[in-house]
Amino acid sequence: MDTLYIAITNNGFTVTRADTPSALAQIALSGNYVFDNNVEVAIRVTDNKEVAPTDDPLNHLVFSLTFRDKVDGQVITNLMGRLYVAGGIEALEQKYVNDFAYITRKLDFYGALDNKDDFFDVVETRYTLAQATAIKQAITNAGALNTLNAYRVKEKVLAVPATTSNSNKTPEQVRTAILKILPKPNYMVMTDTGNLPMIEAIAGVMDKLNNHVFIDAGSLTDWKQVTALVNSLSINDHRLRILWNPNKARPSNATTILARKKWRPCVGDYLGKHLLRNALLDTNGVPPLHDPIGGYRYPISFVGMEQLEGVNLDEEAQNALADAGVIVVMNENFQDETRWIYGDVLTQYDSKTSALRLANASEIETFTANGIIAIAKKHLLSDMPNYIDNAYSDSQLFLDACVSRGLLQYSQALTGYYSLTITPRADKPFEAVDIKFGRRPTGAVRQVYFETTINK
Amino acid sequence: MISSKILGSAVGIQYQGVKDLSETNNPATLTNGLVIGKFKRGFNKPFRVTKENYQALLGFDPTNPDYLTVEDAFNLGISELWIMRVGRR
Repeated sequence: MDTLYIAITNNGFTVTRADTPSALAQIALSGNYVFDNNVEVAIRVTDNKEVAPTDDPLNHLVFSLTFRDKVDGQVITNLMGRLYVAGGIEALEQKYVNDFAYITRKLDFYGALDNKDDFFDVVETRYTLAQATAIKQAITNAGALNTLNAYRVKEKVLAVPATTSNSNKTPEQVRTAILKILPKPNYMVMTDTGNLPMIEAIAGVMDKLNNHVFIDAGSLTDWKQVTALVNSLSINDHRLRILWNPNKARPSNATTILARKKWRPCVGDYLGKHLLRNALLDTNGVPPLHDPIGGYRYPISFVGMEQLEGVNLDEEAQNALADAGVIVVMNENFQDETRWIYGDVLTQYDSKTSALRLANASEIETFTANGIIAIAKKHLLSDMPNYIDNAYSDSQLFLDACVSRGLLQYSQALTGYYSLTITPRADKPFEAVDIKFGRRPTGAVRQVYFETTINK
Repeated sequence: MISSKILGSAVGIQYQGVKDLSETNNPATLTNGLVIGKFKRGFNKPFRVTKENYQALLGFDPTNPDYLTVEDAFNLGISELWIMRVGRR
């Protein structure tokens, strides 16, 4: 946690990273937010003319702190409240046991309830009781004191010093942090292919959470570099996909034609399309995972797309990229229009014929497996006959819903759409069951063998 | 007569409140995306950003592929994303 100190001295306001013991009044804001050099804080104090108690004489001054970007003015967070003499939320809690409203009006109340959405985790204010008049004078001199309902607003704007402590995360820290996210992420996205330990950590998380990872190959122009990169990663897993966008486009928020074309990664668009597709639940709550993101129906709408200089996607390149399981963004001709599309639906699964090398089959596999695991977990620690009954009927409902959505297809091997058995284990018949589950996921057409004749 | 959760010997009714059997099993939703990357600023732990606040919380950074990834996803109209900031760019 880093602390930011806003101090009031006779010379006005200062924002520092160090405590100012000599300050007349000080607001200490501690939290996990890492500031860069582009943030400023606007301080506004309003005298609301209330009668303040003698042991808290500045209770009539309402402080408003707005943290915003120096350049575009976007508001990062704002706080509004009053100072307290000293001791923070603990002291307030002791003194105003039956006056919760008094506590909630204080700046110290920010972060006090440990909400997960708190911007600052601890805010502690203090001021010298005897200096109350001097503090008010200092705020007036600094040009930040407003009277109630004043027409002109006075505020003092100060630069926020950047966080100095090292905020870089090790792969292990990233791994533990992601595993704590609830609800657990369904897709994870990375664009940094240079950091192999980090990619390995993410692959470990992917394995643990049984979700999917999209990695962007970066602004490479030579397909040989891309295939070499894939080989060096060598993560042979159907839950991993590697994408390559060898194209440039205008910035998405470009308002003029002069905005230069630049390379941009495609994984953000790819992720967004997946999340939007997954939101299209049917009446049973099952997303259309059988519909792979790719091809004509999912065009990429970057502005003014154009292939990067020196990119060659000939037959040899496309075959090599498909062998490496890379999804390439390319321009395709369809009848009388061209579209920028995701040119494949391959995963990093190393097989020529497995269903798991197809993105949609892979997503169906994880969705159904996670679904059955969740049901099996939900009913755990209940009595044996009830466990088998309830887990079976819940699983059946879930899988029937998947079948009617089109996620599972009829399998000759299973003589059905899926097979599911839940039976007590012979070795531990009182406390363990076997769940056996088989299914045939829906595939995706990547290739067509076209034969044509003309006839007499 | 009494109404109690555990009936003794007096005349009365034992009632322990309703037992909820109305819950159904819902398939998990798959709309939770996480972007792992380097950003100018942001929290030191995983955090959520929305279409409205991502520019403020992450800092506008049009040359950063990680920032562009977040921007592209929000341009499609999704409502929120998780961010894992691994360091400063």
